[in-house]
Amino acid sequence: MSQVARIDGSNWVQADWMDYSLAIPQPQVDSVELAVGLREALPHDVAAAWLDQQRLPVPVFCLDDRMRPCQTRSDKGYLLLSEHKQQQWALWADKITVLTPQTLPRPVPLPAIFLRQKSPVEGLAVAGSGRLVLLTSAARLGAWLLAHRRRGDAT
Amino acid sequence: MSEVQAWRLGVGQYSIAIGHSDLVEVLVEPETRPLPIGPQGCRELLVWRGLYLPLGRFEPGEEAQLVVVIAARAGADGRADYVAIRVRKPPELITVTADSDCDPPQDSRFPRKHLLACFKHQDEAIAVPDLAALFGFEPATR
Repeated sequence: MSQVARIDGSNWVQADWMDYSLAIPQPQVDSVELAVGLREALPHDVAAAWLDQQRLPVPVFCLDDRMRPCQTRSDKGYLLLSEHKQQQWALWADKITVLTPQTLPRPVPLPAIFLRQKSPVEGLAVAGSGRLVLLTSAARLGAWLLAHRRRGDAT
Repeated sequence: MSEVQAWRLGVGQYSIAIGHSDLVEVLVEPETRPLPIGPQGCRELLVWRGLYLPLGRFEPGEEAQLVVVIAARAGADGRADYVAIRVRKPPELITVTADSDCDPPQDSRFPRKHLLACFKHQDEAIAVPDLAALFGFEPATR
């Protein structure tokens, strides 16, 4: 049993970290920003940093090589901002690319062993370069990141 | 005495066995892709004949350059569901006799529910893992 995700014709936003990429439909992304002016997180925090905005501070999440929230981040990066149940969150990325219908990766089956109940990943695609792109939605990713924060299980 | 042939695969400090007809291909340093999701021991995909197969590594940290492609089970549409695992040396064809079955060792890496059989070969207890179950395929409906 494997799962093939659907990629519709709209734009997607691809966030790269380390050797990995994930993509979210662009309409679900509030904004993309240069990561500047962040406030450091406390050592025990699941968030890697905080972005102070007009509303509540926004937790900024970084991912490690096992796609777990971590506090390590590179010197320069970008933020992908979205919202889940009226709570804003941000994902740190080394690079962010907008994928147009002409540059969308090709969906391929995601083998069953990777379809894990608690994973936000819904599918897999292959970019023209051969790089794998994990497909998710802002709702799933946001819920998953914020649940980590509620449990406090950073690496 | 009945006997069957099987492939012995060195996956680390121990061996496993698969059925003679289940081994599809042996690859040297094939094209792989890292994947951050997945359980420990399976965080890679093998690019093989246009497919992206889950690539397992039974021994953590093992530098295994060889990869075997295995037909883990017959799929619902009649085609096989393939998986791949890293091995340390080329598969060895062995003969397994009916009286060589044994209990899995106490330190078996596989839970009993993921074992199809276990047999003795040259003083080594060799497990026959249920690769379809280990790689998350749903049980085949017959």
